Order: sequence, then structure tokens, then C-alpha cells
Amino acid sequence: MLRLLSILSRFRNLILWLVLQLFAISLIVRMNDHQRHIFGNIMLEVSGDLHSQRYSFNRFLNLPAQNDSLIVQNRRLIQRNDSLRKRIQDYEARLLLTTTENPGLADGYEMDQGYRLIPCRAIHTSLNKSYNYIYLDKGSKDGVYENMGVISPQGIAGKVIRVSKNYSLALSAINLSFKLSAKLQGQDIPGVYEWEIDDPYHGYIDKVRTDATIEDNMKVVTSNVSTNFPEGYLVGTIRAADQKLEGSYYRLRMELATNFSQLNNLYLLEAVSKNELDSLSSGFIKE
Amino acid sequence: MVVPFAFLIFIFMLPPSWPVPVLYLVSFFTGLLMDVFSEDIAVGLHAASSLLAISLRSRILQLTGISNIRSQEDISLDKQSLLWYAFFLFPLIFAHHLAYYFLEAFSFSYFFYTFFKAILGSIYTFILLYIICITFYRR
Repeated sequence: MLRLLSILSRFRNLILWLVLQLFAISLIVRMNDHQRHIFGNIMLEVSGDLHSQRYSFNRFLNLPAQNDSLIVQNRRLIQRNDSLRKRIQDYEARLLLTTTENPGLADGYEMDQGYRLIPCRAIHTSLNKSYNYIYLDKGSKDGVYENMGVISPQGIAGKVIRVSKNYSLALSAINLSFKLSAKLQGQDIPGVYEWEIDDPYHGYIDKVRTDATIEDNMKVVTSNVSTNFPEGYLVGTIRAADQKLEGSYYRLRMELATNFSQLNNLYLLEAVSKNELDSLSSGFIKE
Repeated sequence: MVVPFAFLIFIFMLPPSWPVPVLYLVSFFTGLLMDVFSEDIAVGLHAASSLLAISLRSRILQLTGISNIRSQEDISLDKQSLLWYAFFLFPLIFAHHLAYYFLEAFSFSYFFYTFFKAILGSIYTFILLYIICITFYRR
């Protein structure tokens, strides 16, 4: 301690000078606005520099924790992103469906107001089998029941045949068991839609009267016979070049409107007035 | 704009035989007194610059040829030539004025203006102090 004091006393003049000068400068800076302002600016620069260095050092030390929190946040955002994107796709498709520019609706038809749309997704589908089915992600808890029609924005897709609590199974239109009553648009000539194996892009409308005139790009639409589908929904398009017109009735080949290799947004058609319509015929023989 | 600081003569003529801390304190408080009594000058400017001036004085005295400063009672001006006063006074005055005006500005943005003020002020003060020195400090 004594040694420290003796060293200090060697510099006593200098220390006194420094103390007095610092006192004088602090007087200048504290009591005068101009000097205080400039001094404040300088000090701000210096302390800002020091603080930012310390801050970056701390941030470096904090990197693992930040990383973890970012991973968690990332995961949450990805999930939210997915769900939002699905919602947007649903809304867009639904918007398309309910306007007259719905490509699945043939010209001159409007979306029947008697049907409510339940959006759903095909969680599994197949293309290459003889009996293709579509698995849908909506079930009885979402209001799905058997015999509901399934449509895509481009045209018909199938019919629900089995329902469980969360999922349902639909017969695809490219399934040998699927039959639908359809008609030629414009002439309203009825026929039966069915499918032949090995071509998931084409189907047939059978039992068409021979006095029908077949033109190119004629559309085949659903008729009002079945209550599963609204009238006027597109089944396919007939190309005149494909047809072999022979026999007592025509079996016309058509290009299916729905692209079954890309089933995305599907809609289940809930016939709102179905119960009421069914109740009308209660008591009468239905067959 | 520039005022001659006549009180500096008291600081420069302090006996060098006094211990240095005493010299520092005396010049500091003289400068502080000058500050307090001037209305438009920032407090502390004179204190800081006169402290600086006196701390340079012994150095200047060494450089201008007087040896063993501490032993002398007064700065004996009769033995020196007139020219010596100039070499003694002017650097001290100039250092003092530089410190003073730059502390007043507190930034280097108007560097030339403050420097010019320091030069002019020191010339003015030097003339005044030189006359005072010749008049009053010779026997």
C-alpha cells in the first residue's frame, strides 16, 4: 500500500493537473448548452459503439437458444402456411364453382341452388385399376352420407358409397361399377354414362337414341334424373372423330372433363332438399 | 469579437519557486474567477486554458534559456533582453488562446475560424501584455 502511494506521489503534479483539468472541462460541459450538446453527441457515438460491440458478442453467445426458438417458430409457421394455403385453394375453387364461369357447368346451366357444397380433399385415389376409388377426408361428422355426389371444379368425379366417422369412400367415375344418367347437351337426349377399362381419360355414354345428331365438341352433362348431381354438370366432351356409330343405339366415346390424375379440391354435393323430396314419395311404391 | 486577456500576466509572472500544485491551483482559480465574472463566456473555459498555460510555462522557460527555474524567486526580467519577452510570452499566450477558443467552439467543424480567432486574439493579447511587461516589471 505504501509502495502504491509512493508511486502515486511521484506523479502528484500530473494527477493534480488532470483532476483540475477534468473538473474544468466538466464545468464547461455541464454549464453551457452548446458544449453540452456537442459533448452529448460525442458520448453517444462512443457509448453506442461500445454497446453494439457488447451486444454482438452477447448475441453470439446466445446463438444456440435463438436457433432453437427459431426452429420452433419455423415449424409453427410452416403448419400455418399449409393450412392457409389450403384455405385459399378451397376458397378459390369454391368461388369458381359458385359462379357461372364454373368450367364444370355446361353452357346455359346455373349451379343448382338446391345443392350445398362441402369441400374436401382426395387423400387417396388411383388411376390404373379397373375399380378405382377415391378416399375423401370428410366423414359422417362433417355431414357426409352415402350416395352424395362428388364433383371436381372441372366436372363430375364420383359418388360416395361408404362413410365412416372421419373419412368416406367414393366410387370414382373411372370405375366399372359407376353409372350415371347423363344426356347430350342441347338436344337433351338421355343416355347412360359408364366407363371402360384401361383408359382413365375417356368414358362412354351408352344407350343414346340413334336419331341424335352428333357434332364435334358436344358436351355430355348430368341430367335431372339422378338426385346426386345437379343438372347440367359436365361429364365429358364428345369428339366426332372418335365415334363408331352403328347398331340400334349409339355408344359414344367422350373425353372426361375431370382430370383424374390430378384430383385436388373436390366437393361433395349435399342435396338440401333431399329429405323433403323423399318424404313426398313416402307411402308410394318407388319401384 | 476578440478580447485581450490581461489577467494572464498574473499567471505568467507567478514565482516559479512555488511548488507546482500551488501554481496549478492558483491559476485554476484565477481562471475560474474570470469565468464567473464574465457574462457571456462559458464557465470553465478560462479555468481550463489558464491551467494549460501555466503547465507549459516551465517548459517554455527551459526552452528559452533560463536554467534551474525552481530556484528563482521571480522571473527576473531585467536581466533579459526585450526579445526574450516575446519568445517567452507569445507561445504561452498562443497556447492559451488556442485552448480557449477551441474549447469554446468544442468542435472542429469551423476549424479555420476558431484558429483565426486564436491567432488574432493572441496577437492582440501579446501586444497588450508586452507593453504591460515592459512598463511594470522592470526595475
